[in-house]
Amino acid sequence: MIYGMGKKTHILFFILFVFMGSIYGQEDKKSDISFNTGLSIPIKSFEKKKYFSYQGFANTGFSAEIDYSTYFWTICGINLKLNHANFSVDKKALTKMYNEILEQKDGVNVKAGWYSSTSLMFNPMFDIPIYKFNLQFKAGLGISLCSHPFVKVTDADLGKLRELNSDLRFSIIVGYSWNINYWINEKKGINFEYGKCFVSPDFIDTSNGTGDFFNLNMTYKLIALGYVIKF
Amino acid sequence: MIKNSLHKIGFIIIFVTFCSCWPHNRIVFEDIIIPKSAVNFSEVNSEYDDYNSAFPGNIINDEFQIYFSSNRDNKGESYDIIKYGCNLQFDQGVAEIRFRCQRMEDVNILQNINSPSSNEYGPYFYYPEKLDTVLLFSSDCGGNLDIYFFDYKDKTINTINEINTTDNEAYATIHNTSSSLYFCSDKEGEFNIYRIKNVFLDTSAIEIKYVNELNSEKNDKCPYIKNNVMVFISDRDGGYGGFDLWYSIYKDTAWSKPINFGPQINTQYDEYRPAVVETDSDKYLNNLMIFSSNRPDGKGGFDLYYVGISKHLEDLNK
Repeated sequence: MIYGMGKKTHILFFILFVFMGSIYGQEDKKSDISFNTGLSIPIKSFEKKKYFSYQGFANTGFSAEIDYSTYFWTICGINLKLNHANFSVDKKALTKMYNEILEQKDGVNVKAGWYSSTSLMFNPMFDIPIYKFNLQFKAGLGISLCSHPFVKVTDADLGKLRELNSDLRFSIIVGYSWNINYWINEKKGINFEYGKCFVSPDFIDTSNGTGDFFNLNMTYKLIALGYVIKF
Repeated sequence: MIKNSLHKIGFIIIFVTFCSCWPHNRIVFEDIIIPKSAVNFSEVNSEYDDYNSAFPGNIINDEFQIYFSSNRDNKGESYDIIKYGCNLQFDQGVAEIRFRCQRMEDVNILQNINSPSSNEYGPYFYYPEKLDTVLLFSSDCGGNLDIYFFDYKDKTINTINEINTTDNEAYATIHNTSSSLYFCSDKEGEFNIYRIKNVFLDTSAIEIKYVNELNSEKNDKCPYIKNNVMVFISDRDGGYGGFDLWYSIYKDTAWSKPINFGPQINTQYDEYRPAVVETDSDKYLNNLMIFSSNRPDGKGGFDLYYVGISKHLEDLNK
């Protein structure tokens, strides 16, 4: 259900939020911090595995984040999120693609590392407490340090087909998330997060000495579970 | 006036913004790969027969020249050798190559060689050390196919008397390692491959030898040698039908057992006269081979096809 949420659902949730917030909003909120870990799931062209020229060939990886929120109004607050997400390269799919282009069944060997995106995001947020729960919506932007993996493709007959050095670049990141906090007691609770991020870094190809750059759209979902402390 | 200037500035800003936002894709293939399956060389083919190609040099800066026999100029009547200049372009995203080719006149050479009343086949360029370039070819101007050569120095056509007989001799090629000249002849019924010492370097003790390890009971024709690899055609058993392309590696003073190029190149139809051109090792991952075939997907008659072959054929057979 959550995985396939569309734009209309988001808008509906948001309206419901504002409405409920005006009813259930509390005045005694201060700040909380949560520590989440979970899955980072590549989507759109970052996940696709047909054209290596602009598609990511990325597999689902892991994410970890520290999320600080402070509240200054009945249903509003600001949030600072430090997130790290990584994704392995689908070597099997990349091997298959190269073999298909070379019109052969096998012979290609792929070695590849991991993509990663370490981001610091500033998010305005809406928060609605309902009994022991808090429903939150956060959306904003920030800066991300993105890493392109080392990739080496060789063919038994032709030799080295492609070698890409790993590269690190900063880029603007945008994203949003839906969070649910379940409070076990006054101070401690469990946090569930579903979010989506988009970053499009310009990586530099240092392998051939020309320093050409290329864009790669990294769009991914985050599904994480963690621990939240109110203070 | 001011309005015009503002329009221009606006256009430049939009253009620069557009260009800077244009996505740059990741390079998928760094070096050029020539397809491993045969592709019709449509840029040079005609509705008539086009075959028997040869290269006067290697591919340099993605450009090369190709000579081949065609009966297009005489509307299918007789074959002349013609020349094209080609430029190769490579799409690094999808590993596709494209050729841009243009027919070139060659007044000094081709006008001397071609005759409207006879067929000229099988060109082959030879660059003997300390001697001028020669263009070997065969012609039936004497009634049967004989091997001739055009001397670049004195611009004359000469025959190689040591080889030619009243039967058909054609497709001369030089092997530098063994300092030999190979050709094919049907003097014993079927076409077979023969060898003599390189007559351009050594005119003593001319002895024509039947090359046992290359020949079969059927036709073995059109040898073309690049370094220590001989490519040739044969309709021997073990092929895919008609004439097929085969290759053999020279090692330890002998040719290896011929190997069929396989179904990515050979078909049930005839494949004819292969020629190999070496590519720049820093830029190309395989070598270019051009051959002709009468397979049905062409422009008509025999067409030229190109295909990539391994640079390491010699190593693969060790």
